[in-house]
Amino acid sequence: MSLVFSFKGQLKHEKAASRHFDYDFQLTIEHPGITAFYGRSGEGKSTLLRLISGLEKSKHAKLVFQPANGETQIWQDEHNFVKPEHRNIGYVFQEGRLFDGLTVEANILYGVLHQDKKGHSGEKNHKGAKAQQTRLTWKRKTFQNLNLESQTFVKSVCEGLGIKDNWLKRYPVQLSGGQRQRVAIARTLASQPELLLLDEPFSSLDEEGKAELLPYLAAYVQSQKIPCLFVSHSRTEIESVARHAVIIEQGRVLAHDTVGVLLTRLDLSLSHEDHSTSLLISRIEQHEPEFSLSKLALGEQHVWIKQVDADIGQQVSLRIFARDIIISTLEPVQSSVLNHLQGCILEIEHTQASRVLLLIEVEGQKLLARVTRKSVLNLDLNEGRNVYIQFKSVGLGSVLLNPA
Amino acid sequence: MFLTPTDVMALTLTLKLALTTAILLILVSTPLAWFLSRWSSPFRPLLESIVALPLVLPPTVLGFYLLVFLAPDSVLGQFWFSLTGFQLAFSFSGLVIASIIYSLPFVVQPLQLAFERIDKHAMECAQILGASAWQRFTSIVLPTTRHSFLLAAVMGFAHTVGEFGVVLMIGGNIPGETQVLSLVLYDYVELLDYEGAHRLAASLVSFSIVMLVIVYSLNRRTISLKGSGKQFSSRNKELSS
Repeated sequence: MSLVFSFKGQLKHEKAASRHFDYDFQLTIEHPGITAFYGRSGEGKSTLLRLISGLEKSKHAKLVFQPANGETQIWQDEHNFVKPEHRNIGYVFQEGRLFDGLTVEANILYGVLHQDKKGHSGEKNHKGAKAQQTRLTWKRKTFQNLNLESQTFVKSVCEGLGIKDNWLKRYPVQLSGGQRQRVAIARTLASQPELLLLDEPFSSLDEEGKAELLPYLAAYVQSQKIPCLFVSHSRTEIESVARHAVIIEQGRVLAHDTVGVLLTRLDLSLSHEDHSTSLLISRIEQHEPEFSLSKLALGEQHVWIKQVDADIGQQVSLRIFARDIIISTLEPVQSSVLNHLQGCILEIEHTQASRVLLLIEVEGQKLLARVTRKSVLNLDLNEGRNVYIQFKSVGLGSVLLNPA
Repeated sequence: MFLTPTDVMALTLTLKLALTTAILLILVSTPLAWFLSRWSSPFRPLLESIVALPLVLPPTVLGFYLLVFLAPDSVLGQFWFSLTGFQLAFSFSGLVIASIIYSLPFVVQPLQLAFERIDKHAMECAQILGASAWQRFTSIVLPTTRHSFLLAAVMGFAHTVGEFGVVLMIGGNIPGETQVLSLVLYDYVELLDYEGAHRLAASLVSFSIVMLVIVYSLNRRTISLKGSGKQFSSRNKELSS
């Protein structure tokens, strides 16, 4: 699959709203999975997403999409424009945008039943024809109208997003904001898009809801093998689900790489934020149910974390906060801290008066650590020195099946 | 309450005229109102003014111009004659055209208002989910604006029943063809037949009251539907919090 998108200049109506910069955006995505659009608000992320969806039209944009097993489609250039309803995309907006006149069930079915209208490629054409048959009974608007295959799929999406059966007959006004957002996400995922666009879909959910939905979303994208563009300004969201990220500033690509690389690039502001983290890709080696722990291999070294629900041999990324790391120059021998890794200091960045940022290489991967300037002097830390790294808590990022 | 055969004929004609006009008005006004609600151009106020013109003009002025435009020697009149073999002025068809123009603002305005209130975001969502323009109209626009459609149709119908000046100018008071209720009433008064006039006036008054009650209860229902929705959601929030 591939998605090639470029946009130069401005949108006509945005000029009126005094957008203070010109877009000069170029992006090529050649891998399925979640790519995050990261940047502060007002940097043009949502506009770019709207251009990709076709809700905005511009002669200065060029957009070519090729689904995993389909033909190349020119969605937008100087002469062509494919209407949004004919692009097989899914778009989840920040605010639910449900159809108030329809029940929750009919809302979720809306995309499924209009599927045949879209330019499906390959095997999905078959599914489209089936959807047309169900159109005859559209009036009843229940899951029973669908053929068994679609029904199972839609139900699995609802279950994955925590949509209870007793919501289905209700109307959107009878749901809370978070519930509505779950339904909006279900409506999009149930339509099986070939390209998924998410514009801060979790902003109306509480932390608990986010923690529940993010892994499902990641699993969905992985099982459907589709590309997904995910606009967010929450670094936690990006760190836990995205494989790649595009950092956007003033309508331009500042950097485009895997999340792990971007997080540890000292020239980007990501590494200097309060919550700066690094991702270490490791492999599950064994589970220790007796202590409820899993043992992960990181090159030659090992890390124990709270037992995870993943198969042995699978790769997972570990999220480690820079401020949680303790550095020592001698190997810690007797300590309650379970994990310690050995690494080599690559760079020392003096960012603040009291604290410095260390970039450490561990088994070929990069790790950020924040320590006080006093400790750097006391321990006589300098570039090229071997150190031991301890950390008490480890967050689990996305479970990667085939990491880059 | 005994209506004479003339009264009954006028009554059926009036209802037939009002019904035809209302149906045609909905067909004409829906695209027009849709266009007006989406059109952003400096010329929009001009078009809106033209649509609203029948509201402010004395019906006789409108009737006069229509008479000129629909006359047998006019372009439109000749075209219609070559098409159907009938003339437009002093005919039921002419009356329908006149009524449509006369009642246009009463149908276009509520529809335009309703279309303007449609959630643009929901329409975008439907589009992304694969619904064509027509499917969006039938699945999103129609269900949310159905009360406005009903209201607009009733307004068009009732306003046509109540017209007098225009039909007087263009209709020619032909029994069974263009003689509507209001004209028969006028004739009664001219002939000093006050008993007949009372009979007809009373039935028109009761008819109008029935129509207005329908209009206002529809209006109330539209409002109360929205109100109850809000109540419900706030109650629901209380429950979930």
